[in-house]
Amino acid sequence: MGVRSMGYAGEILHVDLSALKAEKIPTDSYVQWGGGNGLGTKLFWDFCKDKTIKDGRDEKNVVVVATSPLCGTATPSAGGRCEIVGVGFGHYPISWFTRSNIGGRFSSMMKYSGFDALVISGKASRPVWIEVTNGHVRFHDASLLWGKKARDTQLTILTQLDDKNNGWGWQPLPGKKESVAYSTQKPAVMAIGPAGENQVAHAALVHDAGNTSAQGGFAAVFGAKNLKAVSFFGTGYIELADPMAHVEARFRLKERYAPDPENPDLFQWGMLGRAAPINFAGSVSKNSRLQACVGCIMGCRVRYDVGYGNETKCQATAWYAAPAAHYYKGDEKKIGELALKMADYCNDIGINTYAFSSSVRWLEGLYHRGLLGKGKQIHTDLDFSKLGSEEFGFAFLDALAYKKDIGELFADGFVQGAIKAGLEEDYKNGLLNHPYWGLAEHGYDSRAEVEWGYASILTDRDINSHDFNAIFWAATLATLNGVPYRIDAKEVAQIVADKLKPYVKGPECMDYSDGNIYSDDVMQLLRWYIHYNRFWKNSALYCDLRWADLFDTNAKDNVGATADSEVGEQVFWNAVTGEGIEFTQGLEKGHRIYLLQNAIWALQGRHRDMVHFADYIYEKEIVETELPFFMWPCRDENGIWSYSDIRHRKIDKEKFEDFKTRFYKAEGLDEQTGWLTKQTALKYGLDFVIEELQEYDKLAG
Amino acid sequence: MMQQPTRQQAREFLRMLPYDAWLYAALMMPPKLIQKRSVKTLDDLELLLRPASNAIASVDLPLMCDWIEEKVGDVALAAQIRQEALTINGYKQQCQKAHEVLLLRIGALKKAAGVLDA
Repeated sequence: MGVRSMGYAGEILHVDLSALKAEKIPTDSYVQWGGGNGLGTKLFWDFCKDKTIKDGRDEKNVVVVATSPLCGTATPSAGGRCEIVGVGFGHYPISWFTRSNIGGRFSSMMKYSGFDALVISGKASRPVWIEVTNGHVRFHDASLLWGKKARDTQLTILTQLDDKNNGWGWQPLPGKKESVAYSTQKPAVMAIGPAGENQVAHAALVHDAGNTSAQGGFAAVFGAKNLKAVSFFGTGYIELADPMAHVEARFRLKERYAPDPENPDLFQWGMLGRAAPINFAGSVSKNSRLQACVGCIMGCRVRYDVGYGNETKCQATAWYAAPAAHYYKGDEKKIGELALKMADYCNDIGINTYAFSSSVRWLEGLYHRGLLGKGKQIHTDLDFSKLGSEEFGFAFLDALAYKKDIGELFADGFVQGAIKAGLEEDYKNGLLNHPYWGLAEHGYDSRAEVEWGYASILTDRDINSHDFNAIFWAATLATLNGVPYRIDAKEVAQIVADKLKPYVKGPECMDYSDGNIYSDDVMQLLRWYIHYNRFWKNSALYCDLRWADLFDTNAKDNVGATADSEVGEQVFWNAVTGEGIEFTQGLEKGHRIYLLQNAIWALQGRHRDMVHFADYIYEKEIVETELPFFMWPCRDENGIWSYSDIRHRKIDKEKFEDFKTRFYKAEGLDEQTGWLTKQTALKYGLDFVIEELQEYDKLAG
Repeated sequence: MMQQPTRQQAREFLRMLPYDAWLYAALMMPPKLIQKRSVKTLDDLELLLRPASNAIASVDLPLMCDWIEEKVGDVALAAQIRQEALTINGYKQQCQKAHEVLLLRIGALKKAAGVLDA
């Protein structure tokens, strides 16, 4: 047992699946990396002996499931997140070292059982699942679980762990006397379904009913490692450095930002206290209640009385509603019911709806173009004339998860499948709108909302971080509904700029007009965005649905909680850890994590010449009918601020290349290659990467 | 008052359009959920514009009128929406009015075409 730092469980668990052995490592030497993404990245660096691998299914890949000091505490919308890192699967042209995230209570249970992270290396010779109970590790044969869906897998494991089999969920505690040998708590299980077993790129890890780690393809990596599930169970606790400061900050946060639960404000500007839930349930049932991850102040999922759709949310509930609306001619009850049932099924077979939801429209187009169907360029037995029906929905998902029919063609990713089928042009021209690394657009076009696109292409995946995106939603919804802007454009730009200091000089960083999107001001905003995400969101594990809270109309002065001296991210971090860091020190940690990740990407084969969007981003303007407005603060030629529509443009390739050069320079990366320089490695305490980078001739300078 | 279509015209306007004539649109559901839609028929458009408490149509209304005129071919409907809906203030109000006009037109088209709703 290592020295216990505040907020940390104290040990990291490494499981070698090839040898079916487990070892415990003190967390102490990793504390400087915070948790989550930073902790996971450093562990990956230390445990993965061949970082040149380009496919996460490679036996040499190492996956890290990492918590943060905040996990298992009552930190608002941070206690229940969990980060997963490693080489992923499904990117194009190379599956990068990447990240994913999952909510619920998995990270809490991992810490209550005594561990801050789980390092998974090697490959089991046969299917296994891992049980961790209060520090005790057991490898179980998973032969009988293989083939089961994610929920059945979890249920089987929970039943097996309930050794009295009395249905009360009494969990045996190893090493305890009989009289105190049981706990009534429920283990937290993370499992793969058939999609993961079949190693398809769009497979998702599933925990409880509706928590999924979808982006990154880590379920396919679990499948390749013959790892069906991991269960954590513990009776421990998390020691806080200053519990009273933590409680006080939480109350202050509530006083300033809590919404009125009886009267949710759909047009609130900000992230904390934003209305919930986030799903497309239609009119399925009014008899429901919200459900949340550990420590969350809101809850974004719902439990219904109808027996399906429980804890599903967001895109999982929306992807099939559109085809269903067409097929069932607007029958709202049927559409809502089907939206939830399809979401349920996606979570059960363990599949990532974001990976294929925009591709459904493309596939439908292929069918109507005569390129998809029986005996067509892409043969399928799926009857696309019935797209939107219940029968088709299940058959389509089965094809993807079980690698059948068209599921086999697209198992490595939709761009990869399009290329194999001779339809590369659709990828280039944006009919298949996968703008960065062969991954699906999230809904926010990189030509309009540039920070989303820039950050996605300059990291490893769809950034999926709504920090600034909250502005698009607030301003666009206000415009659509004809309600007043709660904060005018100049004020919101100033509020955000104040939050981003010292990165930015002033509000011009928020000006997304055509002439400003390649400026140093926007480049500095991008740097803050990446650093913030790498530490505060991905490492400290603040939830993307509530943080960053840059502006917030629930507060009297419209100023959000982020970086605030009384309720900011660092306040809770310090109350838990006792580190006493400034908010900006977290950003510096995020910068360091990003630099280390650049070292890994370079070893995998990244060069700045590869860092570009799909062709259509440079060559075509946005399809103008989809969103009537994409509203954002902009300045006109006289410097006057207003919310303006920023749809009508494409990205200028030369200007973006110049932007990249300035970005690399500011980050301390080599301008010619995008690689880490020796000088930067030494400056940021990354000297441990130098030898390996030199060995592969990937160190610049 | 729009001119009554012939049976043949009505059937033509109600048809499913070929792929390259689809209208791209979306539903926006606060607080932040976008559901992208391919509008292939006037019925689809009616569903998109149908007022709902938890969602609002997301479509460029002037371009939608161009689509009705050029792709669907219903010049009278496009003109009526431009005249009745696009001249009033507010996107939401424009959508509601466009929906009213469209709903009436679809009823008339179905009657003329001899099509019964399921």
